[in-house]
Amino acid sequence: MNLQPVLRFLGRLVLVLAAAQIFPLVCSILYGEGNATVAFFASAVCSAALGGVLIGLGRGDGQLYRREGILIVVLGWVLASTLGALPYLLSGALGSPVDALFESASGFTTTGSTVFLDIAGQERGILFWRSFTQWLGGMGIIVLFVALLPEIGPGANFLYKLEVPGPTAEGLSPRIHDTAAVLWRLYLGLTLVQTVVLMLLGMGLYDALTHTFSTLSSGGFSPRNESVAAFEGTPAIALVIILFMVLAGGNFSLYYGIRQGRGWNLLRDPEFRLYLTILGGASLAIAWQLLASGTYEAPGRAAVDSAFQVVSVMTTTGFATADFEGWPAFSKVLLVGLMFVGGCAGSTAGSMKVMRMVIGLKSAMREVRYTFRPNTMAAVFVGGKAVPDPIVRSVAGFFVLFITCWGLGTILLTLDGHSLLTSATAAIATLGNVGPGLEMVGPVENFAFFSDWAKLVMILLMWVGRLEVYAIAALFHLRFWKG
Amino acid sequence: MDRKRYVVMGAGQVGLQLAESLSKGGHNVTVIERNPETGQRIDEELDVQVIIGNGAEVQILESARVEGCDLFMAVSSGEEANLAASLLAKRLGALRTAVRVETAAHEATHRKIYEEVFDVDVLLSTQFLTSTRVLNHIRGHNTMAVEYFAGGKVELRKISLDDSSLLTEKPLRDVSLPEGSLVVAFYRGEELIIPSGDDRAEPGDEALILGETEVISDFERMVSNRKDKRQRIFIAGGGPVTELVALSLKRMASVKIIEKERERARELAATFPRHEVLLGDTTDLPLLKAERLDRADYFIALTGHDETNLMACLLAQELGVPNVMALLHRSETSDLWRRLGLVHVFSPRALANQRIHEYIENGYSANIVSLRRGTAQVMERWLYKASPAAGVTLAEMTPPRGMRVGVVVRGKKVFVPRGKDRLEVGDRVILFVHESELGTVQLLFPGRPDRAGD
Repeated sequence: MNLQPVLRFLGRLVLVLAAAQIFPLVCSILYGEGNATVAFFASAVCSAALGGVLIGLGRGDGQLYRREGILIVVLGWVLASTLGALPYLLSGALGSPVDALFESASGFTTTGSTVFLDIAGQERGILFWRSFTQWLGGMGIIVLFVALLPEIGPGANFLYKLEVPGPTAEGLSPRIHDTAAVLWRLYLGLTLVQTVVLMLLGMGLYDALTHTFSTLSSGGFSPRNESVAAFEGTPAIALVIILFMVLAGGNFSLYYGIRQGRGWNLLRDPEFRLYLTILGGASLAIAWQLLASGTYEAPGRAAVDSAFQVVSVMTTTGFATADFEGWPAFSKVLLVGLMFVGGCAGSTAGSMKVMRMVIGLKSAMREVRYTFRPNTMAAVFVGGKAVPDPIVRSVAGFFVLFITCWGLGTILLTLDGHSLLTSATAAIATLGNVGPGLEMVGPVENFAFFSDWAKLVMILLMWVGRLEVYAIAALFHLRFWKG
Repeated sequence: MDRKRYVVMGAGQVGLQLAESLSKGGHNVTVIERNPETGQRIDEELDVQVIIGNGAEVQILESARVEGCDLFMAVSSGEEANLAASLLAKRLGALRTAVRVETAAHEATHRKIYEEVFDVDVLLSTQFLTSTRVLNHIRGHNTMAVEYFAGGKVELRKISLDDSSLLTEKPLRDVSLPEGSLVVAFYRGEELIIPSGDDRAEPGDEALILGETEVISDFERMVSNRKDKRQRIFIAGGGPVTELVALSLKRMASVKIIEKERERARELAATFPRHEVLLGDTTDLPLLKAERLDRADYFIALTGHDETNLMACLLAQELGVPNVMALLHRSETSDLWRRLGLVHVFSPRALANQRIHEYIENGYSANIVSLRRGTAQVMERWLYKASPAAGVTLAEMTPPRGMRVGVVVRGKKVFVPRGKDRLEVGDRVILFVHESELGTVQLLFPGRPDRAGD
């Protein structure tokens, strides 16, 4: 293991994070919030100092190999979450360090679970930072890093692939720096568009910006206590947010194709089509049940609320316009099922991803075929193209690891003494980076009541989910540290 | 008979047979061969001149006197060497060249690039020829002949018609044909009829249909009113020929391929979602039985080993497969095979040989099919800048009754031109010509302008 390049990388990453805190600092100064201003200033100075120290320690040569890459990505996320917690602590918004780390990790991993009891009562700079961490984490801090610094060199390719979600991360350009830059520009462009549209619909700049950050990153933090339900007066806002959540859960490299004049790729892409089909089907099914069970009277409201909750949960955003805790069992089960599916590969959404579901199911069907036709040789096809066997294998491994993590997480959370449903949905809500679960962690509840121990478990689950299991699992593999 | 001069580069399986047959035909043949031992053997066995050396070297080509030779055939197993040698030979004054390239020649659009860039007159791919032969056989029950034009984009088929066919029920004008296809002619006994819109076929006639490869099977099904049973086809061996055959059979048949190498089987499985790929030995009887070979309509042995092919075919025959065919690399043993009851045996080199002879016999015109002993021809022509037909609509051209512009291939598009359609430079046209109008064709669609002897 070459520790020096790892330290050097982390040092530069921390500097980028220090610079990122300038935005909430400016926000606090503009709103004249003393506590937050001091907190962000101190936190940025601390981060910059740490960055300098790390770079100093990491002087000297050393090549980046896979193991160094994995270590950088995992430690990068741990460091980001830790430093991101400083403003919450320093401003006094959260008293306990574990709570601050939970809120920060929930932000960077775009989970959206919160420990704030009264969100709207917080200083605006703090709430801005909450949404901003989601925005940074959505497209990926490592990807941002690669986009900003072209001189990283050959190791960057692997770093990038570790962070971009999905079984395959395709390069849009021969140079990984260009690919990362293209993705971030796209992300910035979408951010701009959504902010402007929300403002045209009557939102203030602050609300528009924070909600956009949390929509496009599929994060789900809202500076309002009622989440998006606070804007009930303008139904168009919910519709716009639905649209952008759907976009956030789609594969960003397909959007790049639109700019290249290959817009039809989007509708031909088998994963994106299935993703839309699942969203549409689940929305209809739930809307039908809400009306049939008498939960809702007006078909229009039922349709919009159903669609919003379905999209919010499947893209792992976690915004709410209605409390689905009160919905019939079938609808709740369906929503929990969608938490496991997640968005498309190459999106900002979390969880298992539609692509993995397709590959996993088809690979299982192939195994079924092998039981009665042992001599057959068959490939797994998605959209008429054969998926290479190494990817099929990695997907199968991912399934097992993901479900195992969820099971272990559930078991550990039940030690806290809450119901099975609360524990199990809290585990998938954090592991899948969704945000809300059911019962005590339902959409209008929060995570403050868990013990510190349970919160640490969930912080780990959030990281595992965001980095898609393998990178973190590698650190727990004995051979990783040998030689 | 006037004596021609031919140069054959590469005395492998294909080259040797070419040299032998041309020399026996009374022509002067020079063979260029790298391997001195092979060269010496040929020198002793055949009445040809042998030059030992690399055919891609100017010096060797000069000593083989390629200048002015009627046809230079680069048929060694090295594709790059063949292309280089042929280009050099052209520059040194060979009148025409034939080049053997395998994989590169499978795609029609690629063929055109090769033909133009390397100034090649005939592209020869034994794999393509072999797969065509196999496909013809599979479709053979109703289709009597299939020929390919425009590098496989367009097909000419001969089909027999009975009284229930659409073409015998209605006059041609009332039959709506698939786009990009047409009925070229009817055969009635010895007579060849070029139909107009009022004509209809009589039961017992044969029809020549021409059209885009993609649609012509639909067309055939439509006009021959055949109850199309999905054929069950077994292919042994997963080589490049198998791949070509399987690709063409995508929709119309259920195909099982047996391949014994795991990696290759995996590749095939990843190429063909609809076909069944089996990992195993071609002569593994329990496996063949378990996969119900006895219910197959066709068994085609395409492995690289003649012995394996023979063995597998005998097994298949034993299991009662009605149609068994085999690829045979050493064609001299084919009589032996026929004595064993394997009638459908074919060898790639014999097919290549046949192709070159057709080319020569057709007066060095590639892609010509003679009908009724030369009374009519279907041929393929390019439109060049100097061609009088370029830029002219069909109506302006007023083609005589003995000549029909069948289909036009323009880029990826294949269509049947109407009176107002204009022909463009770069088009490929498939013409149907009566022998009396061959002169008109030469006038309207001359060959490549910068070349002698065409």
